[in-house]
Amino acid sequence: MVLTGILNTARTLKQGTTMHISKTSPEYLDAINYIGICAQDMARADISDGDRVAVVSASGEVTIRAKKMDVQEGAFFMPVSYLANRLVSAQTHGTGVPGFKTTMVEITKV
Amino acid sequence: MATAAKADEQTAVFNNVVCPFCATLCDDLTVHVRGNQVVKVNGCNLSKGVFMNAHTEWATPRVDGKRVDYDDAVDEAARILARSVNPLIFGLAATDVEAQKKCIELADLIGANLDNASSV
Amino acid sequence: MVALQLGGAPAATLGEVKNRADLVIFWGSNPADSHPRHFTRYSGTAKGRFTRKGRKDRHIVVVDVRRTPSVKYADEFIQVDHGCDYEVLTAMRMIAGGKRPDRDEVGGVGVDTLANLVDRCKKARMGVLFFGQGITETRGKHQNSTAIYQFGKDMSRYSKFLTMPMRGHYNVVGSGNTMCWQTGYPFAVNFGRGYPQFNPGEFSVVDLLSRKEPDAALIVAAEPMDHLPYTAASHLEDIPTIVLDPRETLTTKIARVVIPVKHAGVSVEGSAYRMDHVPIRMQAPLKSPWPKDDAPLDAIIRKIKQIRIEQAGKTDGN
Repeated sequence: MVLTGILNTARTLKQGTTMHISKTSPEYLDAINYIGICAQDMARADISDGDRVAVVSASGEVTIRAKKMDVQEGAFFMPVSYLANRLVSAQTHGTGVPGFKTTMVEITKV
Repeated sequence: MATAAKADEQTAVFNNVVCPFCATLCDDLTVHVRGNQVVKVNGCNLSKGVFMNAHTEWATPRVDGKRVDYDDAVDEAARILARSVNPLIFGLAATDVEAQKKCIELADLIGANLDNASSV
Repeated sequence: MVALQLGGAPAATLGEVKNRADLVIFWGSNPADSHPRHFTRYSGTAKGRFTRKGRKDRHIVVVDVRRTPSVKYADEFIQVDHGCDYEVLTAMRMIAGGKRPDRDEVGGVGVDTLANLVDRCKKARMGVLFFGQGITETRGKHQNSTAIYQFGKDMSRYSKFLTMPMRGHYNVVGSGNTMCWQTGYPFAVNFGRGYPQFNPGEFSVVDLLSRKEPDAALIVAAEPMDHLPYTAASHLEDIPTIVLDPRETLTTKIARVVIPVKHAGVSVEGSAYRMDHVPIRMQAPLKSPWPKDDAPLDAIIRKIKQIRIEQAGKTDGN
């Protein structure tokens, strides 16, 4: 089953700390390489914590790790990074602010 | 002003250091430096990220991926911007006020778009 | 920023917050991850003149769409449905004005919970509402910030009440202030006509890049290849991009020209503005062999002037 919902991208402490090691370091990749999904949505789409999932938006696609998180149903979390920004919509609706927290995505287990 | 004091022969200690990471701009850090490398800092994890890695991954002057003399990189930048019809200058949020002023002067000179990280 | 232009807001330093605030609300802001010492230095456990017991003297509320790591440091967590912050703020303004919404729940939050929060704001000795990108980047964007500023204004009738954005980059406030002072506008400025014009949505970086308008770019101390949507940032791969940065980044990798510079606050002294607009002089514990970024910028300015004189000379010769 395909999960559909809003992608919420935000800073995390681990992302902010490891980005200074190097943007190409394994530590940074580990800090950004996941999407947070709530337990109910995971059960509904038969996704387990740690599974690889394909996340698709109108802007792009990434394959990353699913992580069980305390987020709302139909709302998914990713740390700010070049991975999340493959998905984030560049449409600003005249405000200058792109869709960091408003982009619709679809998640499928791979 | 730098308040360097010798902790031992090799280690210099700087007090009341300001952390250039987030806009809380904590100004109470103690930074221990040995051989131009921060060996200890008492800030939060973000500030440790900045200072403990500051001696690594330094950029080098390059044009098209090839190492060049500093002045050649600057000259190439000037040629690109002088030719440009609609240049963009972006950034400014992670440097100091003096550099920001220079960016504005340059933007004015070349008729650029100028934006900082306010909206992103 | 736009919201501030629309409404205005009372200001105070973080020192005032530390000394006086007995109600602190973090809305769409997660200081535990993004501003880790804000809480201990100013807004949470900090002890001040009229907040001698520190944490015990403050009621702390986190309002967010998700249970962030900041929630465990708060007395109260209010969970808002995704994209419903504006509705919730509007309901709070309504309650503050003496009217009750005609339903039990707004944006996933019980009206009684909101009424309690409004009551706390009215009775606070000094209340502070810190808001973050959970407000400015979600549905409604700057209109959410406008609603926050207006709520703050409403509360000023009853108590001292402050609204302050939790700004990210260490000198993003400085970049806005310096641009305001030099050009009249805080961001999204265009000098194409020889004088500064301001238009977010047109001259803002994501819009310019996603419309593929710039034919060259100079990136100063920023990382668009990591932090901007790729469909916008990818334009930088197609045009000559110049990057000034102390360290290698994802943007230096795609740049035509890389110019290394000293790291402000690490290898060179400089001034930066804290989120409450207090300027602070930064030290330089390390040394770097490269110049400070003003120097190459200045050299670029001189070289461009020289190129123009040479071009003008050639035209005259013809």
